Order: sequence, then structure tokens, then C-alpha cells
Amino acid sequence: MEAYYLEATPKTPKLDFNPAADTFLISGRSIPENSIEFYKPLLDWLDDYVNNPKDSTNFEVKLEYFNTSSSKCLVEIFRKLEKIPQTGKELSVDWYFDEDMQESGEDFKEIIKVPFRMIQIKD
Amino acid sequence: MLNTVDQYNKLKESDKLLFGYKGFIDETLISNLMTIVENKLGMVEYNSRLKKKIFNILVEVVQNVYHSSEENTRVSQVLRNVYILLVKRNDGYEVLSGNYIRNEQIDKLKDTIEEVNKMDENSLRESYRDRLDKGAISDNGRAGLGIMDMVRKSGNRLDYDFINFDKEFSLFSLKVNINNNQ
Repeated sequence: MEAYYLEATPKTPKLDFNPAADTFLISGRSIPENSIEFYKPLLDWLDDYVNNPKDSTNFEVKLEYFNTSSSKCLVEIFRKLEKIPQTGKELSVDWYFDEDMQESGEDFKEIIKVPFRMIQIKD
Repeated sequence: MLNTVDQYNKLKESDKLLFGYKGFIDETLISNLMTIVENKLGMVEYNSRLKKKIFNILVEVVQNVYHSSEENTRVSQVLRNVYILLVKRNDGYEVLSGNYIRNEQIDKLKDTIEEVNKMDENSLRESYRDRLDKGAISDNGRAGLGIMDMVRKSGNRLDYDFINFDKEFSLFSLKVNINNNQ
């Protein structure tokens, strides 16, 4: 399966989803006006991926900040990933946070049904 | 009474106005505005956490205005103007927005803000998570999440007002207060 990769911009995060690599990554900031438009191709890509995932998938979230419309798309990403454990494969999510992203991480941890680790970023 | 247009006219020449915009907005303009605001904040505020908080709230306020302002290009230019202000106070900052909305939208918007303003920290957290959980992707309640986010991030209730413009439109003014130390 081909990798899905997007370089970061001032308003959108880096998306690095390469099945040949150890981890999937989203990093940077996510504040597009139309987040659905931005995330739709990734969500489509994940639909394919979760049908035949690797034995173990690790997803790293290293977001500096995001707007509320992006947060809904993040929920959708996690909803897709939730299907991986159902196929008997492994999934882990690492949420990297500084003081601001802690509460957001806890919001997601509460509503997402995947193994979710919160890791504090040290300066 | 909160009137963002008045505030804009009053503060135009003032040093307290760190950033003020009046006019039409689209996605490209928003990007440019955000770059200016971020640079300006970088010059006046050294507390990086506070800086980030202000910027975050401003992003949400602008997004709210962008999605709720009048798209109908047949209405007059005045009604398509939006106002965005970032004001420095001694004890913090204010983010203000002003835009014209249709009179029939007032009740729903007022209810949304009133409901959020009434919540304490815990119930706000619960409602936010509930909405995030159930309301994914669908455009319904998008404003609700944004409004909740502004209150959660600022830790303050929102100031707002509707001022009748004509039989179809009213000016919607919104203000988020952000304190220096919290």
C-alpha cells in the first residue's frame, strides 16, 4: 500500500502515514477553515489501511494546537483506527503534550476506545 | 451593551488595539490575518503559554465569524463586513468579533451562548466531550463546540450582544476576555 504524506504548512499539520515505517505521525498545527476538506483524503486512505493493517500500528500525535473543527476530524481518524484491534492486530496511540495540549489529550483519551498513552514533552 | 463596530471606531487610533480588521474575509485573507496577529503577539507578549492561548482563541473566533457571516453576495457590502479586534488591557486581552447575521438566527445563537455561559468547569468539560464524541464530522452544532472552546480556554464567560440593523439583519458582537494570570 502506498504511503500518505503531506508536508506541514502554517495552518495544516504534517501527515506521515507510511506502512513501511515504524509509526504514523501527525505533527504541527491544524487550523484550516475547512478541516473536512483537508482530512478527507487521509480518512479515505485509513479506510483502506484498516482493512489490512500491519501486525502492529503505532500512531504518534505531536500537535502544537488545533481548532475545534479539526478536533472532529481527529475523532474520525481515531474511529477508523479503532477497527484495527478488532482485526486482531495491535494498535497504540501516543499523544505528546505540553501544558496546553494536556486537557485536549484527556478529552480524546476519554472518548476514544484505543490504547492511548499520554507523553509529556520536556523542554 | 457590546457593540464591536463602535469599539472598532473608538479604538482605531489607540495603542491598545493590537490588531483590528474590518472588511470581507475569505480563507486566504484569514491566513494572512493570522500571520500578522501571531507576529504582533510575538512582539508584545512574552509569556508563551498566554500567547498561544490568545492565538488559539482568536483562531476560533475568526472561524466562528467566517462560518456564520452572510454569504449571500446580493446583500450590501456593509452587511458582509466582519470585524476582528485584539485589544490589550492592563490585566489581559480582549478578542472581539462583529458580524451581521439574519434575525431568525438570533434565538438559536443566544441559547447556545447562554447555555455554555451557565456551565461550571466540570459540566462544560462533560458537554464538550459528549459533543466531540457524538457530533463528529456532521456540521450540526459546529458553533457549539467553538463557543465551548472559547469559554474553556479563556476561563471566562462570553460577552455578546445583538443590535438590530434592519428588518432582516442584526449585528452580532462577541467578546472573549483573557486574563494575564490563570
